[in-house]
Amino acid sequence: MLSFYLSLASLPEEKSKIEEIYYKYRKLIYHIAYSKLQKREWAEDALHDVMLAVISNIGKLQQMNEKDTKAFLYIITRNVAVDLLRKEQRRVAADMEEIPISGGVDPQQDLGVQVLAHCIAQLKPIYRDVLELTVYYGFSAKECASLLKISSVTVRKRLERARALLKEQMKEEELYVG
Amino acid sequence: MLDESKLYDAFSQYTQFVASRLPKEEDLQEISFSPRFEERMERLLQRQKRFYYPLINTMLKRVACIASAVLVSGSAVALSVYSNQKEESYFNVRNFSENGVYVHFFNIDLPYETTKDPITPKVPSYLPEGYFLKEDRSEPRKVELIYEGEGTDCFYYAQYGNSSDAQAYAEDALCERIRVGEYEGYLLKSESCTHLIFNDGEYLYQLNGTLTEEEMFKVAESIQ
Repeated sequence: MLSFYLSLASLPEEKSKIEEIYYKYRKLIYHIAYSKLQKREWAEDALHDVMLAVISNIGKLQQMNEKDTKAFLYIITRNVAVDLLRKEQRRVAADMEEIPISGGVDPQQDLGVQVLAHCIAQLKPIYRDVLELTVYYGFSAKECASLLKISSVTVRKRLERARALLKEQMKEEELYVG
Repeated sequence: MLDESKLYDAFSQYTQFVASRLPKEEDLQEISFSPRFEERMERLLQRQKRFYYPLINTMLKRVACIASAVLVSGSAVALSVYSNQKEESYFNVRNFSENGVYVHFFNIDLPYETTKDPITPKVPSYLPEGYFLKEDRSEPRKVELIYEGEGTDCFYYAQYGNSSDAQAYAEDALCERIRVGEYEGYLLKSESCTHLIFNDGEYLYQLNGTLTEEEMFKVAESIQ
């Protein structure tokens, strides 16, 4: 199976990066997908689709460190799983998961960043994902649309909404924090 | 207005935490993938080994560069084409997979890789309206160009030393023998993609993309 993924990359170093990602994260991707889909076949399909996304974006992935790669794969896998569930015409929970930020605050970051990070964690995944992919990972709206299997218009709308929600939450948090 | 640098730092912190909360690979149990899945990947591997896969995958969004082979019976899987005495190469159509057709064009009359000398580049002098050269991936023994048109329209052109081969894979496509000028080749076409391969006795040429058949031939005939 790995050789299939290698063939999609065009440069030797890209192929080795894909190989590295595949061997290192395939169980994780499968685990995340299976936890959402609860079906082996669907989880395998999800793994396949995630690797296609990896190959399509290998240029950016080569520049990511391990934690960024892991978080990126988590976003993609979760969205692929949502997409697969939709195709099976099953209802999808609005918030499939939430990993609370509390307890993970970096004391070396200033308070504003900490508050903002907390607000980011409170966002719904559909808003957080587009913002994270564009602001943090540097994908364009078009690339984001391709990754998440939505239209560019939807990406832009969600970005606007995400920023608006963050601003509202920041105001509330800052009032609370004082 | 959100401070973009703070937003970036906040996401950095958030992703750090997300990554730390995800299970490590070594903590996850081993997975045994289904034979169907493994097989599916292997088939896809053959198809996507082609050098032009990044083009069809990224630019044409899964436009399958197609080949539809002529059906063969039983044990006979090859369909040979002999050119006239002036031409020293022919094409074989063979190798079929379950979900589509895999066509292999190669030259068996010339020794493999007789020379390492650079080839004399030949490029199309005609481009359909709106098309421009997007990317040049040429090497000393291969010309490889990607042209873009409007929207997702694009096509790929390659020129190889005559000892090279070319392969294509397609589903639900038609395959026919054709001539580009005086040279024989094959045209493979489906609803969404056209693929043209021909040999002029010196080099092997390959074109594939969203051009119409008429435009594909015009481009091919303008190669000089």
